[in-house]
Parts: sequence; C-alpha cells; structure tokens
Amino acid sequence: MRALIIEPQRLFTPFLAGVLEERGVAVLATTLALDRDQLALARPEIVLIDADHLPSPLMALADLRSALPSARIAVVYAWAEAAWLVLARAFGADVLIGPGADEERLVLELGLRRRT
Amino acid sequence: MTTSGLRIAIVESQVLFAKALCGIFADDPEFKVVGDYRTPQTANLQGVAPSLVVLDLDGQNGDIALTLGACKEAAPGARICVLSMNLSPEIMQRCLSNGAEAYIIKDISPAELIRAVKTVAEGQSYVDPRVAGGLLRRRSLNGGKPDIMELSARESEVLKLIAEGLANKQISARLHLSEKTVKNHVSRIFSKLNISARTQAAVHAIRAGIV
Repeated sequence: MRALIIEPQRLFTPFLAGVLEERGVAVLATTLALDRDQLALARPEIVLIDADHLPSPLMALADLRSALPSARIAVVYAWAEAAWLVLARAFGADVLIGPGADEERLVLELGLRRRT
Repeated sequence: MTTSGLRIAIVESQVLFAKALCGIFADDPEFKVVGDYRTPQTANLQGVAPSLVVLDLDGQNGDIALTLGACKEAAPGARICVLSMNLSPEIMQRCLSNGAEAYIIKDISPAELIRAVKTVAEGQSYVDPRVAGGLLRRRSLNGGKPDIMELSARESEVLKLIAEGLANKQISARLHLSEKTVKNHVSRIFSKLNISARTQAAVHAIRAGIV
C-alpha cells in the first residue's frame, strides 16, 4: 500500500510517515500539493493532507479526488471551522483528523493495522 | 554553559504533532520531556518547572501576549521557543517582545529544530533567518530605525495613550498602574523607538495606525 503525505510542516512529516510505515505502508511525502501527472505516477491509496498550512486546501482536495477517485483522503486540521469541514467533505475528504486525534485514531480512520 | 539535562515542556494543540515533538526531543539524550500540553492555560508548567518551553503558536487561540504571558507566568525561569508557520516579521517581533527567545518556522527538519533549541538553551536567541531577513529589509527601508512592532502589548497601550495626549498620571489611572511603572514603560518606549519626546512618540503611534 502507498501513502502520500502533503505536509508543509516538515518537522512533523517523519512522525506521520513512521506511523504509516509501521503498518507496512510505503510513504511519499511532499510539502506542496502535487499536480495530476505527479499523482498519476505516485498512485497513492491513502492521502494525508494538512488543511491548515496549504495555500488552497479545498482546491488541493478537489484535485486529489479528481485524480485519485478511489484513494482514502484524510484531512488533518487544528483550527478549521465546522462550515469548512463540511466543504472539505464535499470536495473529497473521506476522513477528518481533528486536533484531539492521536496516531491510533489516525490509523483506525485510515483502516490500517500494525504490521505483525 | 552545558545543555545536559534540559527539562523541556511541549505546548502543542494537536495531539499527533505533540507526539511528534515529544519524540524528537526524547530521541536526544540532552533533553528530558517533562510535560506535554495542549494550551499554556491548561499546562502544569509550574509543577514541572521546565528550563525550556516549546510552544506551537499556530494552534493557540487568542492574543500572543496572553499566550506567552501564561507561559512566562507559570514558568518564569524557562526560555520559550515559539514554533509557527507564519513568516511575518511582525508576529515574530510580537513573540520576542512578549518574552519568547526563539521564533522557529516548522518547515525545518527535526535535526534543525534540535540545533535551534540547543542554541536557545545555551543562552542565545534564535530567529528563523528568513523572518529576520524580512525584518532587516524593513528596517533598511525605515532608515535603520527600529519600529513600533518591537513594543510589548503594554508598551503599545501606553504609547496609544501618550498619543491621545494623556500625562503619566492619567495613564497610570487609566491602566491601573503605578505612576512609576508608567514612567518605566515610557522610558522603554523612548529607548526602543530611539526618541526623546512625547510628541515624537505620538507621531510614531499615528504612523503605525495605533491611534
């Protein structure tokens, strides 16, 4: 399984990648949204996207959903308002990972299990 | 100064990222993570007596002065490292003038964070070079003069009242401060703005749009 992490806060990427890699997921990490061609090459089944620090997160979500119709897309956010979260769902987010979520919640929402 | 046994408290609103920060510092033998909190207001900083507080400003609600003030009040001996994704020199200056010793942008690697925090632990300050560059450019445009953003929240309040024409005694009554405290604020304002008269202070305040 492949995952794409779109996280401008590079400080946190190794932790997020580690959580997924422990479950046998191969991780590609970027700090910016990828274009359609790059997404087609990467072909991730899971996408983790930081909603708080991208220039146009809803646009990025729409592009992701369009390019990856069957990927599981999780939005990580700290301060998004309820109305924005409704829009995020409409633009293609499957999962919303709020500020209170830990790594167990994250992997549960993504449908992953620890590799044995 | 040695940095061994640095007691570090994390204040990060997102649990996932708090765990990331704890992991980064726990991996370095020179640090001991003594606290992991979501907000400064709910943190038990007084109880754990950290030597360093790493505060992610981005997820905190409310005023920078109040947020940093809560940290300083609970852990007066701790040096505060602010994390943010905001490259604004104004925000950085507000953080430094309200007690932070570092302003670190979160697009750096964990190793770079460790280096920056160790710099602060050794008694120095750290500001992301991109933000410092913005400040220097602005100062250069301002003829090398410091600007109003270097004032603390309280000093800005005092400056506003000076610009409204209030004397120190009136300011002390308005802000419920002693006249001596107001005098100290006025001295610091004059020093930071490199001025010597209240009329010059008023001009600064008007130019900065705070009156």
